[in-house]
Amino acid sequence: MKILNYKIDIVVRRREKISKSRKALYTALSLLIAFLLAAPITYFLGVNPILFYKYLIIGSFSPYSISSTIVNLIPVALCCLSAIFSFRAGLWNIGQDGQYVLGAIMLLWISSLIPNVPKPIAYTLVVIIGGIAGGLWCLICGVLRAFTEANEAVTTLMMLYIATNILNYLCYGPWRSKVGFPETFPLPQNYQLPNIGPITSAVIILAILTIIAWFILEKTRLGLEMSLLAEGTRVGDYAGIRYRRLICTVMFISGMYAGIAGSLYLSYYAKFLQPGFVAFYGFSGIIAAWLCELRVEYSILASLLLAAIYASSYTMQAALNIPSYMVDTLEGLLLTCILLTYFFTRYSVKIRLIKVDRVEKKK
Amino acid sequence: MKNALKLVGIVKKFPHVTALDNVDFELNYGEIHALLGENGAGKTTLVNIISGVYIPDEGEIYLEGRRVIIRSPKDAQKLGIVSVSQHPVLIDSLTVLENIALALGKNPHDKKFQENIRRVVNEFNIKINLDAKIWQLSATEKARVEIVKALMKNGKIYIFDEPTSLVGLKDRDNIMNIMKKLRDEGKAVLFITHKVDEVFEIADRVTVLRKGKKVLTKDVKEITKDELIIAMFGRYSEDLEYSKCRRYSNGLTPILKVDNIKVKDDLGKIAVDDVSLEVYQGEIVGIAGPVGSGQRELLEAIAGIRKVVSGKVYMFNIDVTNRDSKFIRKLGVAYIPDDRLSIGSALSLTVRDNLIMRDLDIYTNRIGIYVKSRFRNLEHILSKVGLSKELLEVPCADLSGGMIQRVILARELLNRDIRLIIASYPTSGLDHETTKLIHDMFMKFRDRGCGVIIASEDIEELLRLCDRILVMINGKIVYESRVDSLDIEKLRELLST
Repeated sequence: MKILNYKIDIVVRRREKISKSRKALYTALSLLIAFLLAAPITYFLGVNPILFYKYLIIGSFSPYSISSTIVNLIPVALCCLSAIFSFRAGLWNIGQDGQYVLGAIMLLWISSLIPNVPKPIAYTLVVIIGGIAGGLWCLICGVLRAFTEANEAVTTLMMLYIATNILNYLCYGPWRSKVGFPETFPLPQNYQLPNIGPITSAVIILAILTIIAWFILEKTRLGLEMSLLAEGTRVGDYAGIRYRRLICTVMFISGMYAGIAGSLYLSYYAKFLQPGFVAFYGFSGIIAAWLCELRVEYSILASLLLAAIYASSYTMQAALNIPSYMVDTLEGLLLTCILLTYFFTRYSVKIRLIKVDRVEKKK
Repeated sequence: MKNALKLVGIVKKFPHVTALDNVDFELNYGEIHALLGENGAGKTTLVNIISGVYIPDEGEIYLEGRRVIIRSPKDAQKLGIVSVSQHPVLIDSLTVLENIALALGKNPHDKKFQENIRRVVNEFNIKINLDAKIWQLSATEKARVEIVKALMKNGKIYIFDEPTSLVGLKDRDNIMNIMKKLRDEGKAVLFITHKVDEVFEIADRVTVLRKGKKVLTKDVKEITKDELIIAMFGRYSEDLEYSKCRRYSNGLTPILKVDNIKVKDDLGKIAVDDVSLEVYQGEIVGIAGPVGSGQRELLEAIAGIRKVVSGKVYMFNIDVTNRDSKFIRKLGVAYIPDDRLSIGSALSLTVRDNLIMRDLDIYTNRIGIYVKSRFRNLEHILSKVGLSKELLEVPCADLSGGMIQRVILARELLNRDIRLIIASYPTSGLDHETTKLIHDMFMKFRDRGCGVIIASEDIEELLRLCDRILVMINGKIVYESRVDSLDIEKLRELLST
């Protein structure tokens, strides 16, 4: 590109190595840029950007709203783990929200059949039913991928819309409560997870599930086989991977985590189902998964950020009259900046202005 | 002769090694200049600096006497420097024509451009199907694509980075002719190799690198082979002479028996046509023949990573036809694939993961959880192939080709009790040290009663190592003989046609 006497020279080079602190710096910078980019948007919405940031923090980490952040953290973190599982294996399950809905629907249905089980068993059932339901829903896509090579990114996404429409059907149809709103009957009392102080006890389950995920990925053959699956089929054949079985297993576990997110959320917070139950925690989970570079160790931290943004949306709507869609916008900005960081940590870009006559002399 | 390229005091450091230490180098127009050295001597780093992949930490580069700074491959290309890479980067799903067009920024449908390619292909006598997709091609054919790509660029300085290491005999001659032709056209040709004989065959001048330092630059006419070998290794290399201790099978039951098998290649063509062979305990069987005659497909089928269309494979009297590689591995079979980078190792995983990936049953308990105590063995087996235990957590992508092959060797031979070794071009493109290590290990395993089957393009290697040699041409075994009663004349004749 030539401007007047100058030529803009852009050189993109692959980095030979990047230090950990530098990488952390870039990630922090990208987050900062994403948040800064939100300023002009809020400005055009007629809100002072400073107030926007203020309520972003008040709405997520003030003593009052911290419990609301935790409420959002659990499904986001579980969907994040779900995404980590499938992405690590080179499989693209992006229908976490569908599995989340199915987990909740199945929990509500089965619990309504056996409402009077003792609490400890009921709590266990919350996890097991949600897990199996979400797992099986995702396994459908896994089987399609393994046996017909149907692209799982497409099928999981389509299954998400099927799941939300099943939810709509149930809410407007057979499960509609007598109140008249499109919402279902509530979850039996015994199945509702209690709070410990201001915080839900579901965080304990989240902690356990996170440790299990870390263990599977780092300390078992399944974890290694997943990395090999992502590496490509030729080395996989050589290592003796049984693809179909492995793809199905990974998709089941991935769906399981998203399904548990749904059943837990129903149990500790929502209590009944309504069309708005799909809050698209799955997509936030996917963003969190990229933010933590598919590392389970950092998944909670990344999810916490996303959950905080989520939680603040209510406060912002109330205090500043900003539409809650602003949260989606912010999430989009985050994802864009994170993916750009991926590029900049792998490549260095140098831009220089060169005087044209010097270039000609060189020739 | 006009000076084309001059490098002065080049230094390049990597996190753990100094790859180039104050290296001077000169290249003239109208000469073939060989750059000789072992793997890890710094040859490829030097090439990467000339072609703009790396920027030197110190030192200056002069092109035709003028100082230049080469900051990217694009810069190098603008200056007329064209390199033919050892591992061509091609896009699998596109055709040969499209790949070449992409590299040159041309429209593949442009009739004039197509004509140009055809002209170059004919002029240099390169056999290539322009409409074939890259994934359908063998390594040899991919190398041909890379050469066509380079010739189309029409540069002034040509760099050939070990062009003969991955191709068959015929292509080797062809590449040599291309280099000569380029020289006779007055271009500067830089030829990187680790084979001393090739230097005498083609080069006008030679520069030897050892451990990142320049040892000498001389006219080829003024130097002897011995001098060159000393310069390269710093000492006399002892000859790999195993022939005194040859063994011959005594007609026991074979540990590997292949019965009239047919195997298809990636294109779905029959690559192995009705082959039968046996390997007995304690012998090394070599498969000679031009690369791409079906040796790779044959060994892959035996190792269980390629389908057998018809016929049977027996190991230790068990029918293993079309059993998966995991089953065959558990019988005590080592398989060393020819493509170390995309089959033999998982590059983004650590050395540790690569060492255990074929033997997860050993390193995990029944439900698949790692058993920590068994991992201690890994340091031991790494040391046996001359690698330090610090490498365990390093990704394989950071290792050199020779080191990766050592990791593969450690995994395949030392993890469990091995009774049969299948090795597909195990030493191709490797340095002297690693080659010797591989040969030594094969001999040791043979003496322990293990059977070995090797495919190699290097007939000297096979004669040195094997007890029995088979020649495979066009998917068929055309000749078989014990090494002591081998008809060398006949072998030469078969291999040169």
